[in-house]
Amino acid sequence: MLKLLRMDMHRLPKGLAFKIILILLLGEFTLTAFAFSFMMNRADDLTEVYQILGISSDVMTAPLFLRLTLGQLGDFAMYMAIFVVLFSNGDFHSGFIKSIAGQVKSRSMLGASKFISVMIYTVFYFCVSVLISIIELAVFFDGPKELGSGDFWQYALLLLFMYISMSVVIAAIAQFFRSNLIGIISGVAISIGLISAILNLVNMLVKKIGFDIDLAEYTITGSIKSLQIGGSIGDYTQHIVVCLVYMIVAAAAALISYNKRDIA
Amino acid sequence: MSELVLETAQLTKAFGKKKAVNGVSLHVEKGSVYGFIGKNGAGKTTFMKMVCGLSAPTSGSMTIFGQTGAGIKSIRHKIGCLIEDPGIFPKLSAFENLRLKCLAMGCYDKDYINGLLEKVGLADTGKKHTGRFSLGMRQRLGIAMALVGEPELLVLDEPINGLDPQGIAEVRETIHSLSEGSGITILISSHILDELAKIATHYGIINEGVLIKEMSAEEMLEARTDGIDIRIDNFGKASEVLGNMGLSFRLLEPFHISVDADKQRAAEINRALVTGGVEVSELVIHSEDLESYYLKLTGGVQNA
Repeated sequence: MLKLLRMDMHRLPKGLAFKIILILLLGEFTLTAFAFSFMMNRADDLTEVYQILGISSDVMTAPLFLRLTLGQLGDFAMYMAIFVVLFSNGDFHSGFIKSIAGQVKSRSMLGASKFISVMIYTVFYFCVSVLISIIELAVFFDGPKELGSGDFWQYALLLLFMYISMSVVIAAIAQFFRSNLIGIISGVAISIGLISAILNLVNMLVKKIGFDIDLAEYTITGSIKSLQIGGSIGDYTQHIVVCLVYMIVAAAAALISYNKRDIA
Repeated sequence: MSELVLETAQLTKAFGKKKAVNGVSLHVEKGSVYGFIGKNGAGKTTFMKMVCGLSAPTSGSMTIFGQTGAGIKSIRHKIGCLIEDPGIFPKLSAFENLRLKCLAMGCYDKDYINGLLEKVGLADTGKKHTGRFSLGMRQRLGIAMALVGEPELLVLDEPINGLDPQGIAEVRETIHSLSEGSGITILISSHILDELAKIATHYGIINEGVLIKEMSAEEMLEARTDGIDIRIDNFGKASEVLGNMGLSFRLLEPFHISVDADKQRAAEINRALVTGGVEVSELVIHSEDLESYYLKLTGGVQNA
């Protein structure tokens, strides 16, 4: 298992997607910070700006910036989805899998190694994003305020956990279907919140027959969007359980499929 | 029979109702080069995938290095495979591709990789991406990948398919040196039967999923019929003489016939023809080649 993990960890940064995503993240965060800074400096009526940004504070703090960037799904989630799919299916796509799958004691270890690699690199990308955020706050605002607060780290760690769950689920879908196309479509649909939108429609239908339930709350992306800085323990626990369930079910299905199905 | 590295018993793989491999019982001796012959869709790749652990049999059993059933998992590392095409990352160099395989097998060492590249004649490829390799180079890298971890059984599926004559010769030499130099047992399939005949010590012929013949190269040589091609000046007289000798023959072109007879009867036939008033200007003894033998067995000419 460790040998396979070493192989995957070595292969991962060699892909073109890895480098492109780093550049995109840097560009994305710089543009976002610049746009916020521009609006806050130019607007005569700040209240209107805050409404646009969906915030109540007139100071750009580190937790707030994180919530406005990583906390809104969007591009970071989409980049992660694409990266995870390309990496997860890379050895199927190239045929490399055929030269190693027969030589491991259990094929599910190949999948497990990918899940762990994806988790590690989600942490890496997330940390890079936070680091870029801190730099952007220093460049465009008055420095990264509230960086040392417990709320910031609590929020960041929960958000990170949710992104790890999302990456594992997308990696599982890609491995299960062994298709980049299905993986990317599913990954992008999840990352841009399309699933939540569909669930909102389902909510409406369910409401019509007398049940009042918000299904989006029980999705990873719904959890990411509704995660609040300084939220209650109850909310946090619910988010963690939702993400854990998705992650475990998806990974288990992919690993079983890895072991049972032939390598074409 | 010497020690068997691979033995299958009634091995079957079905996809729905179709049996791609149907009750194959095959025996590969240690140190042999086993040529696995069959037309496209005959079941060669499916069989090899099962041996390599990429595909699960529907029924039947395999014994590899004395292990059977779940025990095979413990000797999987002893099998190197190149199935269909070399599975390599095109944006990485040959060294990097081998490095990945070595990391997965837990045997990463720079010198070891360089040694493998040397062994397959790719030592001077440097940082060149494998996507820019010729087909022959990619196939040789595929063989190098299969060699990682020092396997004792090498399964090569069509390793010379699509190669130019130079590439074929290079891969053949590589396989030959692996078999002769390292004593690796090789199970190899190929469409290019003349090339296979140069390296194989044993053959298995599969047709429509069924193994129809299994024999050593010596047995194959004995089984093939000889022929004697003779240039004559008088077909009528020659026909009468050969008929009297009870030999069958066919006309290749005017005054050129091919007699179905053992090569040891060449002198006798020559004498009889001359005595019978037939002038013999040329007499050539030939053996049936592997391709003709294969076609005779399978009864077809397509995709041989």
